[in-house]
Amino acid sequence: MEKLSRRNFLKLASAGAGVALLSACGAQTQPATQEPGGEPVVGEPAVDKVTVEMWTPHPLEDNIGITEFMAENYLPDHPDTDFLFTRVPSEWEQKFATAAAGGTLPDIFAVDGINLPTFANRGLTAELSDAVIPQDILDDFYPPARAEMQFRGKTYATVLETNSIALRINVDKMNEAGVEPPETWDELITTGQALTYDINGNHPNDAAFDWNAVRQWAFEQWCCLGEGSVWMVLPWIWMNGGQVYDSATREVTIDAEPAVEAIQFLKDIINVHKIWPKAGMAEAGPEGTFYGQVVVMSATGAFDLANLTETNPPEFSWDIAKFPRPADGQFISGVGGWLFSANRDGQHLEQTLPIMAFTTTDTWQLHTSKFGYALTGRRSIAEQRLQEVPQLAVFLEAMESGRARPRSSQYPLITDALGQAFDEAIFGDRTPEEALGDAAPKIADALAREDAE
Amino acid sequence: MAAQDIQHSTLSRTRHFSWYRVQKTLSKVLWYFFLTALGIIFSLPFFWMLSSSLKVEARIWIYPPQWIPNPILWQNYPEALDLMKFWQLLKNTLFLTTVGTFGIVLSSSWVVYGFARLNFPGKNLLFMVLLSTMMLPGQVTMVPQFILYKELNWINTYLPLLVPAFFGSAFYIFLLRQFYMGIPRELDDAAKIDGCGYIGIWWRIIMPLSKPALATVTVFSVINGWNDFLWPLIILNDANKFNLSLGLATFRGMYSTQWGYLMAASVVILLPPIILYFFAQRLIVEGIALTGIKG
Amino acid sequence: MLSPQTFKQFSGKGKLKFDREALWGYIFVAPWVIGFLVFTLGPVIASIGLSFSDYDFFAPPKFVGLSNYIELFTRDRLFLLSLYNTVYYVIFSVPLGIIFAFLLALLLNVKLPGMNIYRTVFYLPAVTSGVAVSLLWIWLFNPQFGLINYLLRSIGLPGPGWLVDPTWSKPAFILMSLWGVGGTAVIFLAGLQGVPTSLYEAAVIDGANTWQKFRHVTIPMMTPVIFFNLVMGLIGSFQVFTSAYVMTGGAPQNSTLFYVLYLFRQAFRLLRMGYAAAMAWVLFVIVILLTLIQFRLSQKWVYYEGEMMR
Repeated sequence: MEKLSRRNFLKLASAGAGVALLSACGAQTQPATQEPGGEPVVGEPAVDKVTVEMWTPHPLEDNIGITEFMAENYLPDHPDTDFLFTRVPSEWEQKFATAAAGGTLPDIFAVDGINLPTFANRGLTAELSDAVIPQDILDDFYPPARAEMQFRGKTYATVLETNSIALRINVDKMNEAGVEPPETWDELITTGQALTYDINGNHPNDAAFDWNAVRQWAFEQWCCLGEGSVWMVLPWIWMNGGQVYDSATREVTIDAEPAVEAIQFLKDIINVHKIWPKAGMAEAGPEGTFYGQVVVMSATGAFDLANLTETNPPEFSWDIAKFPRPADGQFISGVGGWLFSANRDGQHLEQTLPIMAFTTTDTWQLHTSKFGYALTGRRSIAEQRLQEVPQLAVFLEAMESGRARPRSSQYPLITDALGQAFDEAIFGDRTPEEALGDAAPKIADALAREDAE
Repeated sequence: MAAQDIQHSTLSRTRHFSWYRVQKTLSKVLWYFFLTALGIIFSLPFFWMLSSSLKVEARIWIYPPQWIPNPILWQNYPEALDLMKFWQLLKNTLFLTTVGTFGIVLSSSWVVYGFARLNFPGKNLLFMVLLSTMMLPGQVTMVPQFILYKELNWINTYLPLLVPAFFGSAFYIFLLRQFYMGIPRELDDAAKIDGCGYIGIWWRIIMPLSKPALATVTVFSVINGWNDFLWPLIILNDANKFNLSLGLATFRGMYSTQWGYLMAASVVILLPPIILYFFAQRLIVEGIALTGIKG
Repeated sequence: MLSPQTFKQFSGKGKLKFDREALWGYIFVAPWVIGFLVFTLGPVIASIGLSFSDYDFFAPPKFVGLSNYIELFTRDRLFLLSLYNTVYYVIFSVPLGIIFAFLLALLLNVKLPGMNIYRTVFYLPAVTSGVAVSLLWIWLFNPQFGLINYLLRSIGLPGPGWLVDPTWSKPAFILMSLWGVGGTAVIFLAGLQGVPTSLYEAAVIDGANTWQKFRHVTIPMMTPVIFFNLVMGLIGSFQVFTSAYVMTGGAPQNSTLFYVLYLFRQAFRLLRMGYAAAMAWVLFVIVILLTLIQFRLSQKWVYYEGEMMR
């Protein structure tokens, strides 16, 4: 009985497989570029259409309906162009690397801000001259956002999204404890200790405080391995007057006093003042615990506003506050984001570059900024959104004072060294001097490699 | 083991009737109890997954953990499936999995007969080469293989995902080899005497006797194909061609994850393979009516 | 494995005897050989070449000789650390996994009603797609708010730091791997079916009790399957990657920086594909040596009923 049904199954399966294989072979795509012979627009002569392809890891289709938007606002004026957007759902690095190696990159691809120098250096991205982006529009970009678009004085990308970092705070919990958002590092300690308590209600400065049974923490941020975390730690160093390296002299100063002090401070708020838990690394870390109301202040970027205002509003009152700064320092935020860049080896540069230019126009930026997908880089556009989303104010202020990450074609090596050092010093047992001392020569090495290119 | 216990008891029953029955019932109860306890522990992550799939996003993370969602968001399921274009991806995945599994089972069971039953010069070396293909991390051969597929013009088609399946898969070849080598040679010799060629032996003797192994290979292959992620990702550019695994990644945004939808979709996606396994079990565990030697 | 007859054919004094069996042997393995030559061999050779180069995906590979290997062995502290992390993981997860899977298979191999459901329940973890479940486990392992510590605390045990504590991070991964033994158990289940009942009957006639039956019938007949799971377990666990990639990225303090994770980082984050290829080949040499040793040792303890000593 079983033999018979297996035989039948095999027969069916092979028939099905045969049909399916044939159809799969038939449905093989044409090479992902030329699509000659487009549909003529009524009343106009037929034009050969070229399809410009765009890949990003961002769900631009779901978030801003990019295909329809382009169809309505761009394609009618460009009858020779068609537009195809594909979202790469995850593992962007592997998809990108294999496509680059195989030469199958699309016409426009997204680039993480820190990687643009690498790609620009390798000649992967097309330069965007004044003809593409007029100077006055370029000037309208926030300085750190503009810095991310450029490398060695030339523009190679436009902004897909840019973010500054600030603190999101649980206003209800702050009111409960009767405290205000801290402005200085000292205030962070006192406010933090008021906001942190264990299951018996003891605070960190109480003798009976049980570090292993904390019910509510005051503070949390992403740390430490990985680019996303390094990005959030650097502002603390900058606020204290430190620097990874001097961009002019190329001297590495990450192991100098100000940086060491800043890292020591972060280490202390975990171990000495006990307002930041060590469990902040994981995916379900800051995101989960802020919403779960076990953490009161959580570092986040402008990208979070969409979440907080629309997709997933918390069940408590929230607000955005600036990072606390050292008593004698100033508020400096970090700026990072993703960019659009044009494939210099693409076959349709002529149709691609105008689309690149289009991403800097009012039409585009107003549209994409409406859906809370972080900031689009231009000051005049961002300020128009303030009315709907007042919490944007802190992020915009942060954009003014913020700094882009250091621009180096070897930045991945640098960020790796930094991440290791931060992890070992802040969450680990090494002292900041040791950890940063280890990172410094690695960074110097990376810079030397860049100079040798 | 218990099967043999039951036989044992038949012999002992004449001697210690009621004591044995009590012992048997008790051991059955203990068995169930232990398995149930272990099973619950094993399933806790899935209970949590199910529970989270019905919760308001913001409440998934509260402490102490809340098992029963309140309110129960049944709509997470249709919404998640709609967002990830479930039905289209299901079609794709079914196609990929069926063809792939067919290819793997057929080719692997064919190839392994050579390794397990026939002698030829270089067999052991070749087998070592086969094993060693599994020892090199895929990340390193990924790029050259991608370039190969590009030269063949197979990018953005299903071909790189399907064609290699018809040339045998090292893992399953090794697995089946262990099973084939456990089948007594007398059967082969008997068939040879009856005039069977090697193909006849393969099809009539070996294949039926390795049903549990073949069923296992089928189930594993279906599940691997179902969950296949990386190669579909780097080969396919057209979102309409994606499979369910890739579709699941829709819910992981750049800076946040839509947990409710992710959990709901995950629950739905794991249903078909597990249902398949539920029914395939019979072939694996209880299945085979055989000749006299195996009883 | 190396039977006298094969050896004779191989080293053939005089001509190589191409008998009918050998011809058919080649015919049967041909599909795999062809597939290997077409799809695998080229990329493998390419990866060897890459290991002697500098390659960042954008520019063509640049030959640098042995410098990748030299750097790996002399200047890379994380190389040794990642190897240690991986060996630690392998040493615990493979034996524990096999024992646990075997016990599970024995437990599930009974003809009691409802066993279908139990077998399905224990196989469920093997079916679920890696990423969603890995994310779930992150939450489960959360020291303050996760389910595991919540349960531990409710029975009075202290909850360790798991993914946050360098001492407990690898045990967390080992625990996760035990949760996923369903697949291995299924293979054992299939193997248990292959043990002829006639042997059990013969043992009973000889007066064997349950334990003796287990030791003298079940285990010897299961050795081929045990061997398979051992070899595959070794090969597979040396390449542990996805769970660490999704959950910890190597943290805390590189305690979960497994070898392939470090390799991945070199290849795709630092864009040093050549260096990663060198790492891959070092791993290959380690694993194949261990596998060859296992095969050699298997002659002593693995029993194939269908393998006559020729």
